[in-house]
Amino acid sequence: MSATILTVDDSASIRLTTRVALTNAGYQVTEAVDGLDGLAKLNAGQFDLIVTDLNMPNMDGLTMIRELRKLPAHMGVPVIFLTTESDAELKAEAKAAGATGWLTKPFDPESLVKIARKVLGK
Amino acid sequence: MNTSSHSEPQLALSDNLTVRTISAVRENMLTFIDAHEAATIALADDVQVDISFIQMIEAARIHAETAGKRIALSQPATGALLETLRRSGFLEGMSAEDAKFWLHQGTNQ
Amino acid sequence: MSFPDPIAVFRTEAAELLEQIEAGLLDLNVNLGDKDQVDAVFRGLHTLKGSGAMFGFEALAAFTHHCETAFDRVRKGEVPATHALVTAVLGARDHMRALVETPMGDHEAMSETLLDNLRRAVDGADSGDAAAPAAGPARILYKIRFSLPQNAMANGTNPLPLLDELRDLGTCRIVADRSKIPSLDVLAPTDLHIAWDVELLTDQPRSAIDDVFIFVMDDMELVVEEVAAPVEPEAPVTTIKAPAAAPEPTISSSLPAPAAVASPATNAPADAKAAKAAENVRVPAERLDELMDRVGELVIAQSRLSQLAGGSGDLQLRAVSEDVERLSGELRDTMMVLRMVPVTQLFGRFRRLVHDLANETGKRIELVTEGETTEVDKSVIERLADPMVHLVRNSCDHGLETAEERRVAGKPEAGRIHLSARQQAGEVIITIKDDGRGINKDRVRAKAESSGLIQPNASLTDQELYQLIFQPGFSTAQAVTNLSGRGVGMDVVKRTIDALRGTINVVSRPGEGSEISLAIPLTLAIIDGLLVRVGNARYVIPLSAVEECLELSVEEDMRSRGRSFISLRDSLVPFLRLRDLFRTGTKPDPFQKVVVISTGSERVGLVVDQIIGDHQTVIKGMSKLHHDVGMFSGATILGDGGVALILDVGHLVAEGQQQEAHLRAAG
Repeated sequence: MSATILTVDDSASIRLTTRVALTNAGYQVTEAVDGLDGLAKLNAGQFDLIVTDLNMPNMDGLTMIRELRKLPAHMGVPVIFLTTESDAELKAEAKAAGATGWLTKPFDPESLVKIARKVLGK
Repeated sequence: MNTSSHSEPQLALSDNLTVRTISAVRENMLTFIDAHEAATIALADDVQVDISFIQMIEAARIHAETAGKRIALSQPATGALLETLRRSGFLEGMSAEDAKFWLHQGTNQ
Repeated sequence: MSFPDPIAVFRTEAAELLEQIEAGLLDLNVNLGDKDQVDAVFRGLHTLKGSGAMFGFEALAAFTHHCETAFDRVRKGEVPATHALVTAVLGARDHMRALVETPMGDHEAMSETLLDNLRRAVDGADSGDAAAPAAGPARILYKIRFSLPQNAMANGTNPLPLLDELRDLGTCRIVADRSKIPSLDVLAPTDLHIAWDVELLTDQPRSAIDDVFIFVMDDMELVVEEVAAPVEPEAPVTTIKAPAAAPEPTISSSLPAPAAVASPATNAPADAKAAKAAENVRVPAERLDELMDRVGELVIAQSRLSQLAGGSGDLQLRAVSEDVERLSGELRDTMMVLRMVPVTQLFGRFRRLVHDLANETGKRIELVTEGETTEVDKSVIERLADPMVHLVRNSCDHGLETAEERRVAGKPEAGRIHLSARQQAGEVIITIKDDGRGINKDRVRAKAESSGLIQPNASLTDQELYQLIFQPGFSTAQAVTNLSGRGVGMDVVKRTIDALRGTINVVSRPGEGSEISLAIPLTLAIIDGLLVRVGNARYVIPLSAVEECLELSVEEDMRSRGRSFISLRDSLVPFLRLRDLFRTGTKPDPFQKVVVISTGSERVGLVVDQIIGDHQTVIKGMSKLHHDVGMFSGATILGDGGVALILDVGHLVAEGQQQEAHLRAAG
């Protein structure tokens, strides 16, 4: 069974790019449009990986990650966040919130798939 | 948690033994070991395991030993469990005692 | 005409590249030192990756990239070519085909497994083969000790993929340190208390180790120690090798490096190839078919013209008509040649099959091919592939003995499969020969008797007996093996060859082997036929199936009423009255004819009203609407513009035999 990935981003074009890349790599992809939607999707199912943007309306990525880490049902699920800045402080803050790793925008689909593989293994 | 007709009390674990479920599994395991002198742990055939489970079993061995109790696996590690032991570096440099526990090596069974 | 679908174009190209890659790999397997084949395989992989990416076959491109990298290293002499590597890439090649055919399929797991195999093969080549001509980059032994942040697991870092990544960097020994694991009663089970000691021998830079831990680097403990003395056994070899690989003193001119010397030589054939390619034009097969249709229609129009001209006294018209006849004849012949392709491609795929079969059966098998330049109509080639695979499998599986058995029999240990093709009077003869144990006649007979194909003790010629193996449901294999026992009998071979209007001939000598020859008409598009009339309509019977023509005397006709048999040199041949079969509703001609047709050993007579004569026919397929009309295999347009249906010989023979069986059963 292929691994399932939840992508959380308010940009439709980024959602599309990530979905195409991850689907082509054999993953099953579910999309959410912001942090609130992301938590709702998490309530409804199990995921092997979450890829999320940080700056989003309604609920931002950091808040979502913090909330997510409080959910025992999703204990240990890896979370990759997308960031435009290679800002060390932001990274540290996201890591402290419970993120697993990051991917700097703009990214090519190949590096996204590479990171998914790195985190999920074979 | 259930006890089978096996000569020793047996703890049958669920088929998901990953970090997602490990806290509940630990609770079960702890209660079980504390309640019995000797415990056998049975795993489902298609069990899903990760390193948190191996770590927990190692912790359980320590706990049992300290308490003067015995725990054992109902079967030597195979399939996903064996593969996880290999990938996590537990097979390399295994002591005779570890090999007996995990792989039932050197036992009369 | 429409623009070709770019995806279809890519698929065609990919199929060719994959064949090229396979051929190169198989050649390389025979001679591991063959630099040309290494280059050929590399180029094939490189092109496949490039165009795959261009046409959106991402998974294919990504997967192929790894194989390309491996071959690039072989090409640069960093790792030697080994049998293990060839086998790994052969396996990968098959997977590439799957990625081309079903790009959206779930190939992930398979890809990873195959890439693991590849990595192992490359690593094995890297560390194992001391005779390697290559001197790779120096490898360093690192001693690594690390522990991840305690909350790493809870925050989504699974240590297992990280450990796998370390293993992928080189030769690796990983030992878990459990000393920090607390007792169960105080364990926070989602925290990580395990540390690891790793010994890693790798040619990768130190940064590659850091990359593994990129996400946890800031919070973890990582100690990486470079062990000064290289411990790998081949390290001294490397240093000895290096001077040997330097240019020889004799070419001590100012030429900089051997690579530069070699490059013009390797470029030359490539250039020649490119030039040759430029002279070829690739045309989709369907356009050739369209052209073939037009030519067929032209031939028909021309024969109408000939009839008109023949009936007219106009000499000029006759002269023109004769010119058109000659030209259209030539055009047709040229057209036929255009559709011809050499059997090389067809035979090529058997190298792989035999390679795999040898592995599966543990037998030693040599494949010898002959007459690969023989040309056959493209559509024939396509349809021959499956029956040939079946016959070759059968030979490898049942025909050839094990090395042990062969030694006892005083034969060379390696069994031999011999494929040959040759042209002979409008037919191509394909022969599949093995030097195995031969067909066991007693077993064939016993099997045929037990399955009711023949009466016990029926007297049969050897040829008739051998033909029984092509009957549906017949199989002499006592144990169903993985190879031939696929629930498909040799009857499939027969059916396909019949459909190609071909014949099968079997020769077998006990202990010496067997030989199966397939005789197939060179082209499917044009047949020589016998034009006959039944009622008011005309029909074409393929001439190749016609044995003889007889007159059905009125007496015989009367006598045979209800018992449709004629006696033909002491044997009874069932016949079919086409007039009845086609329900013409016409009265029979006073002198009816019987056309005796056969497929292999079975014969049947067809009663027709009139035999008009020989007729060369361009076959037109039947429309889908008529697909279930079994009695006809196609239609043709006659010189006068009329239409004639072409009789399906196989179907009619079966019908006749059935009728015979029916009458026999009725007593």
